[in-house]
Amino acid sequence: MMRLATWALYVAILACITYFAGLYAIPFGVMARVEARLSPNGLKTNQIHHADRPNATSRTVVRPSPDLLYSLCYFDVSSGPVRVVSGAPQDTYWSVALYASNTDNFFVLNDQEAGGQSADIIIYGPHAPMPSAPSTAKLVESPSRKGVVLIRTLINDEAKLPEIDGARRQATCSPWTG
Amino acid sequence: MISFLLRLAGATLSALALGLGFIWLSVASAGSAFTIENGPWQTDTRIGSAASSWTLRAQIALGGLFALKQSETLYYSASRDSAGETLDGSCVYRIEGVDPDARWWSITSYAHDNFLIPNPRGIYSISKTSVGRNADGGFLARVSHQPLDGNWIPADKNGFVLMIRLYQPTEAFRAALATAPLPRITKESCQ
Repeated sequence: MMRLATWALYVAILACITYFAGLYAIPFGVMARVEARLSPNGLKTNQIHHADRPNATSRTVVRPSPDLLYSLCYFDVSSGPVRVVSGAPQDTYWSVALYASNTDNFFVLNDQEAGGQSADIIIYGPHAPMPSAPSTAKLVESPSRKGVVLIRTLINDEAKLPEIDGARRQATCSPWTG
Repeated sequence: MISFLLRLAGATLSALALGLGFIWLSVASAGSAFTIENGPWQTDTRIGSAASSWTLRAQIALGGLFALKQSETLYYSASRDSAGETLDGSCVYRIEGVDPDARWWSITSYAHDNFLIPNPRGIYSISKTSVGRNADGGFLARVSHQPLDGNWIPADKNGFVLMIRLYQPTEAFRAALATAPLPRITKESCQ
């Protein structure tokens, strides 16, 4: 028969394991839930997906910005680097942000930092050798094999929406073979 | 043997409940230390920051997924008016002020479920470039369930929150998160 102290130790150890495992899993679970919500919309790994402008029916993420156009790519660098080239909408804010599988934002570049040109980013795997790349490309090591590229493009003028939307749809995301 | 199994099941369930309870406590209740108030507006300094612990990362994932760092975008939300009263979807509110010190800004209303509020005009926000101006360059917008003339964004009858986004706020603004000028929210009338 186990004594009370043994039971208490069992409960304490299992509670600690539950606590740390649960905390660790939350970001991955949140990321998986977003991916699951987007999969029916045709989202595929290492391909760009241009989401429709958020409106009252949007349910992918809470508090979406109705003034932003979101383009995203679920990347996986397990089999090699992935190249992301943004569009270059003019006279408005846009940014390319990279998130690891645990939701950490490990890189961001905005339109001003890109000098009004397309952002050209090559993502390679954690601890993988740095790939060869064009001199204009930025090489970024991802802390995880999988993650998300999120391109935000601001609609700062409703009259220019077709132009802004057209420019952001020039973005690409694809495996990079050098 | 049956007694042992029952005790084991009870102890295991207790441990799981304890572990999950501590997760809830650490994720949900540790927010105030990171919250900065600026009138009715609140911002959370954790949002968009690099996570330095499992707890912080879980908090960011649940409360600010895919947020950007503060130099890119600052997020403030308001669930109360400038008098400290909870925003009520059956009332009309005035949002008044001058342009916050940022490259671009927007104010958006969200229903209690944190999604955009359906309305016949398909309007969800006002912004630096869409808002109609007063003669002095400032602006006045109204928030209400029924659409109104002029600058207007929708309120949800079941409750709502407002969010202001500041794109590329100036360094001066970021150095004064609690005091930099942000719009006032005042109750005008109620049904």
